[in-house]
Amino acid sequence: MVATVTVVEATDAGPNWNTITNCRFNTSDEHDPVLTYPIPIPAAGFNYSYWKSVALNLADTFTRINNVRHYCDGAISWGLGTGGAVNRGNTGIADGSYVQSTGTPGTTGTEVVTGHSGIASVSAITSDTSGSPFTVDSANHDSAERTNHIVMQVKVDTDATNGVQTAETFTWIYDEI
Amino acid sequence: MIPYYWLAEFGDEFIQQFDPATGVENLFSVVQDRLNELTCIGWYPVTPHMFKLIHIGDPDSPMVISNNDKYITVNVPDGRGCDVRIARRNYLSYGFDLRGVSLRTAFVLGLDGEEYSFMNGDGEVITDTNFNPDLEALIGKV
Repeated sequence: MVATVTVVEATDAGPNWNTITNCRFNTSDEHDPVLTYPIPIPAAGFNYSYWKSVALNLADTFTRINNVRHYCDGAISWGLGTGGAVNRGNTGIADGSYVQSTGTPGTTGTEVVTGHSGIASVSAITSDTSGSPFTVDSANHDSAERTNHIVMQVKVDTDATNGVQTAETFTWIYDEI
Repeated sequence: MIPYYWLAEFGDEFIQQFDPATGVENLFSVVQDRLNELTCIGWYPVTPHMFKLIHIGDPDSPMVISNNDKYITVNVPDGRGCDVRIARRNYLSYGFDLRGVSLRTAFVLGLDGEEYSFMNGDGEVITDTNFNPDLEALIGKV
């Protein structure tokens, strides 16, 4: 009657698509939020999280799902420093173009434009709001499958604030008929 | 449970999402195949009778339906069927260090290039010429 839609995050080379209800940027290629690999504040330059590849998984019976978009409330309260940001890649990525996140565990992830062949540039995710969401997938999905995934990464500057940051909520929009 | 179902009129004939006698669901593709004949389409509230038909054999399903008789329709001029936008627009929120997900839905209806109607589960409606308005006032903010 209605599609069963879940948020999934990819890890590993395969990749493995893991259903998530919560996400945490860290410096390790894993989906289950842990405190083991925080993002260190750099002495100079920037440190990065491992990038996150997050999609919608479409299951059960439905006619069509499309218009898949993603946004936040326009502000990120995390103390990421002067040049810090939560960025997302310039385009939604199809399953076949998935690239595993890389870096040095516990230190920094690889900057996503450098390490991801499908990402040409990034924008601050705060530019994506409910009135102007980011289009992740414009295709029609008429059967159970995954949508394109959004690629997101945290960038941390030298004057960032340490500690666990306050919770933020991101939202997917999709139309179903 | 969805609070509204679609009903499409083709002149004197109509097709609705759930068969009124059996509750069996029609996929929307039966409407898509006849868009050039479409004369009117709308979202209508699920009634207690329809709810029971839909959930035959599912006695544990909670009876939660909209408590209003609100509906939205749009008349479709000849040849405009392909311009109809009808959808359940879902907002699926997930947390960054905020465990859990939440799902909110607005029911969308309109013709491209004209005003669209956006209705929430309580039957409140806003209209907007933009197909992508900020709907937080209608469906709430997580």
